[in-house]
Amino acid sequence: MNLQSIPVAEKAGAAASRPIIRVEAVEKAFGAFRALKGVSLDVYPGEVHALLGDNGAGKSTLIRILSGFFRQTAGRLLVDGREAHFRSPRDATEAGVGTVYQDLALNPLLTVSRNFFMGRELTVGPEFLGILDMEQMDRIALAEMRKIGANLTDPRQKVGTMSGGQRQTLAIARAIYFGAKVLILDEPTSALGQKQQLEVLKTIMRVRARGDIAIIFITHNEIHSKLVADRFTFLSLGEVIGSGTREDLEGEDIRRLMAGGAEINDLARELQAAALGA
Amino acid sequence: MTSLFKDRIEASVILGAVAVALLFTIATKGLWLQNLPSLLILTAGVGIVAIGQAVLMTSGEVDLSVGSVYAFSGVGFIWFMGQTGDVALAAILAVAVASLIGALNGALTTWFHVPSMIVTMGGMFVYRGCVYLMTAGHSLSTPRPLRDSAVIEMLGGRTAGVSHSILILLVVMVAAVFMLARTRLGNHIFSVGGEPQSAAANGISPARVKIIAFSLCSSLAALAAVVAVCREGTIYATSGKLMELETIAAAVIGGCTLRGGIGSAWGAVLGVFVLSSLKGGLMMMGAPTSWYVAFVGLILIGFLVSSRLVNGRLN
Amino acid sequence: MHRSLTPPAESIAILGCLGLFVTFAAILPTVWLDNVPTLLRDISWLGLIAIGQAMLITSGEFDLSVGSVFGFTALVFVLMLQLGLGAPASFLVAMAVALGIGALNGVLSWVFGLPSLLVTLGFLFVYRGLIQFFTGGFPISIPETVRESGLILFLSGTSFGLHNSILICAAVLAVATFTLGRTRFGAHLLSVGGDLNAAKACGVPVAATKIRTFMICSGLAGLAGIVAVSKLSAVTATSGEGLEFEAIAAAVIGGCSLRGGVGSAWGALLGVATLMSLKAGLILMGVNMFIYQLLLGAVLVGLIAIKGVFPMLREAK
Repeated sequence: MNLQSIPVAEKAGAAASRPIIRVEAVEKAFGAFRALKGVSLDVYPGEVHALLGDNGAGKSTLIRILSGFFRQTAGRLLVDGREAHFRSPRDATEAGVGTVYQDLALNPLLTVSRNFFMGRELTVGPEFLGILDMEQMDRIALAEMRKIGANLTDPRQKVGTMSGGQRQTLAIARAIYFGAKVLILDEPTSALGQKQQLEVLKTIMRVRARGDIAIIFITHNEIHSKLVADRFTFLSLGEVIGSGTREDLEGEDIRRLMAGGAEINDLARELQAAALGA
Repeated sequence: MTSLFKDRIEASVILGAVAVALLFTIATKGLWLQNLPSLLILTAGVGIVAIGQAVLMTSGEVDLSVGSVYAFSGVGFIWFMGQTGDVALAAILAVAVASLIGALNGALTTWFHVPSMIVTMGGMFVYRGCVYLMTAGHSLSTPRPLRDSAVIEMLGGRTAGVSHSILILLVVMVAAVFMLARTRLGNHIFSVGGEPQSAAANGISPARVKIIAFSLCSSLAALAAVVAVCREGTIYATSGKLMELETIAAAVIGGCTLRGGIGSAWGAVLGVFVLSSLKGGLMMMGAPTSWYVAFVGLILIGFLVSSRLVNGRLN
Repeated sequence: MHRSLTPPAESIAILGCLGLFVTFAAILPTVWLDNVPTLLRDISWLGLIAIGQAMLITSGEFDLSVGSVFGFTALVFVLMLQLGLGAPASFLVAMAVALGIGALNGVLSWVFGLPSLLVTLGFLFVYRGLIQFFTGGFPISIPETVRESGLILFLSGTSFGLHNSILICAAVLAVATFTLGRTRFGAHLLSVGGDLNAAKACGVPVAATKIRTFMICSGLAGLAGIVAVSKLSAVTATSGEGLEFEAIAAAVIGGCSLRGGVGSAWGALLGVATLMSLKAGLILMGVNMFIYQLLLGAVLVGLIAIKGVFPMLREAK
C-alpha cells in the first residue's frame, strides 16, 4: 500500500486559535471489519474543510459518528475543546453539529417556512394547542435564507417548485438557524447540474464568510474542493492518507490523493501492463 | 399563480358539488331543495367520520374499520348509558374507547410496518363481530329513562329547524381545518404523510403522529355514532356498513391521496355531500339501493383515473 | 433455498392446521371425522382464491375484490346457463370475465399508477352492487336442465370419495408452485415483489408481470366461484362476501410477507386449512359464527404482531 503522509500544517496565522471539532484517533469496527482505523482531523471555524476519498474510504462512517448515528469504537471526539459523547443525532444537533444529508430531509409538498421549521415549529398561545405562529415563521425563514444568498420572495412557496440549489440553501440555512456551529455537507453538489452546483458553492462561501461556522464538505469532486476548501483531509480504506491546507498541497497532490494515494503514473503503467498482458 | 381555484386540491369536489346540486334542482324542478335538510343530516353523519379519514389519509394511512368502530361505539355508548345512567359520561367513555382502538390500529401499523389497510381490515371484522354479538344481530336502543335527558337533546335535537348534527359537523370541520392548517400537529401530519424520512430527520416521530391520527379518526367515528344514537335513539347491527368505502371515497374526491401529505377536511365533507346527493338522487329515481354501492365504488375508481389523466402521469 | 437456519415461513400454518385438526379430532371424534370430506371441499374452494391472492401479495400487491369477483363470476356463469349457452361455453365466458377483471385491476394499478388497494376496494363494491342488482335479494339458480351436463357434474362431483374440487385445487397448487419456483415468470414475480426498483433496473417487465399476476388472482377467484356454484346450484346477494379477508389472512398465516417478495402457494393452502378447520370446529361445537369472524381478525392482527416481535419468524429479506 502506498502510504505517504503529509504533515499536518500549523494553522496559518493561528487566527481561529483552536479547532471547533477535533477528531482524535477515532476507530470504528463493524464486527471484524474495521471501517475507520484511527482517523484524526481538526476543523476550524470560518473554514471549509474538504473531506475527500473514494467509495468505501470511510467518509460516511466518519460523518455518522460526527452526527451521532454511530459511536466510535475507540478514540475521542472533542467539540469546542470538551469531549463529546453523542448518543443520538439529537445530541449532536444540540452540541452544534448540523448535518445536511444528500436527501436534505425536506418535504416537497410543504412550503418553505414549514420545511424550515419542520419539527421545531414556533407557536403562539397555550403550548398544548400548538397553534402555529405563521407570520413569525415566514419572516425568519425568508430572512435566514436571504442571509446566505437565496433570492427568495415567497416563504409560502412549495419546496417542490424550487431548484436543487435553492433546496440545498434551505437545508443549510435551517441547520445554521438551529444552532449549527459545524455544518456537515454530505455530497451537496453531486446530484445537481452545473449551474446549480455553482449556486451551492456560492452558498458555502457565504456561510464561510460569516467566520463563525466550520464547514465539513464531503465530495468526490476535486475541482469543487479546490474552489472552496481551506483545508483538506483524504481518506482511503479507513485511514487518513494525507491532509493539509490549500497552501500545503499542490494540484498534483490533490489529484494523487484523490486516486487513493497512488501516483497517476503508476496507475498508467499498471493499466498499460494489463493491456499488454491481455 | 393565475388562479387560486386552479391550484386547489378541492377544485374538483367543489365543481362536483355545484354540478350535483344544479343538476338535481333543475331535474326535479326545485323539489330537490326541499330534500336538502335530510340530505344535510345524512351528510353530517358520514361527514364527521370522513373528516377523521381525511386527516388520517393526510398522514399517509387508511382506516377500513371506521364503519365497524362506528357501530361498536354506538353499541358501547348505549351500554355505558345503561351501566352509568349518565349520558355525558357514557359519551365520553365511548369516544375514549374508540380513541384506544385507533391507537391500537396505529401502533400495529407503525411498529410492525404493515399496510394500515390490512391491519384495519382485521379490526373491521373484530369490531363488527362484537357488534353482532352484543346486538344479537338486531339493534339496541337508548335506555327509556334517559331519552329526554338534556345531553341527548343537546347532541341529537334541533334548533330553529336545524339539526344539531349539522352544527356539530360544522364545528368539527372548522376545528379540523384549523388543526391541519395552523397547528403544530397539523404540520406534523402533513410532514409524515409526504416524506416520513424527512420528518424523522427533523425530529418528528412518524409513529407518534400516525398513532395520534388513527386515534383521532376512530374518535370521530365514535363521536358520529354518539350523535346518531342521540338523534335516532337506535343503533343496528349493520349500522356503519359501507362507511369505510364512503369515507375513503369522499376523502379521495375531496383531495386526499393514498400516499399522504395532501388532504383537506372540508374537501372530504363536500365529498360526502356529493355522495349523499347521488344516493338521494338515485333513490328519488327509484333505483335499487344496490346501485348506490356500485356507484360509490365506480366514483372512487373513476375519480382516481380521471385525476391521473388530468395530471398526465401515466407510467 | 438458504432457509436452513430460520424456520420456514410456512411453519405457523403447518403447526396451526395440525394443531387444530388434532384438537378438534380429540374433542369431537366422530362428527369431526365425518366432516372431513366437506372440510376438504371448503378448503379447496377458498384455497383456489388464497393461492391467487398469495401470488399477488408475493408480487407486492393486494386484491380486495376477490370475494366479489368470486360471486360475480359465479353469477355470470349461471346467467349464461340461463340464457341457454351450454355449460362449457358459459364456463369460458365466465372465466373470460374474471380474467378481464384481473387485467383491468392490473392496468389501472400499473398503467395508471393507482394504488391497487384503493382500486380493488372500489371494485369490491362495484361487483357486489352488480351481484345485488341481479339477484335482487333472491338466489339465482342453475336451470334444472343443465344440472346433468358433463362439466357441471364434473365440477360438483366426486372421484375416489373426494370432491373433484380438491383435485382441481391440487392441480392448481402444483402449477402455481412450479410457476413460482421454476419459471421465468415466477422469478419475475418474486423480484418485482422483493425489490421493485432493482427489478426495474434489471429490465424485468414490471407492468406485464403485475398485470398477469392480477389476472391469475382474479381468474382463480372466478374459477373458485364457478366450482362452488356448480355444487351449491345458486348465487345469492352475499355469495363470496368476506372471502377477500379470509384469503389474505390465509396467505399471511401461510408465510406471505405483506411487503411482498416472500410467499408460497402451498403455505397459503395450509393457511386456508388452518382457517377452515377453525371455522368447521366452531360450527360443529355450535359456536356463533361472529366469534369466528372475531377470531379471524384477531388471528391476522396477532400474526402481524408476532412476526414483528420475533424476527426469527420474519422473512429474511
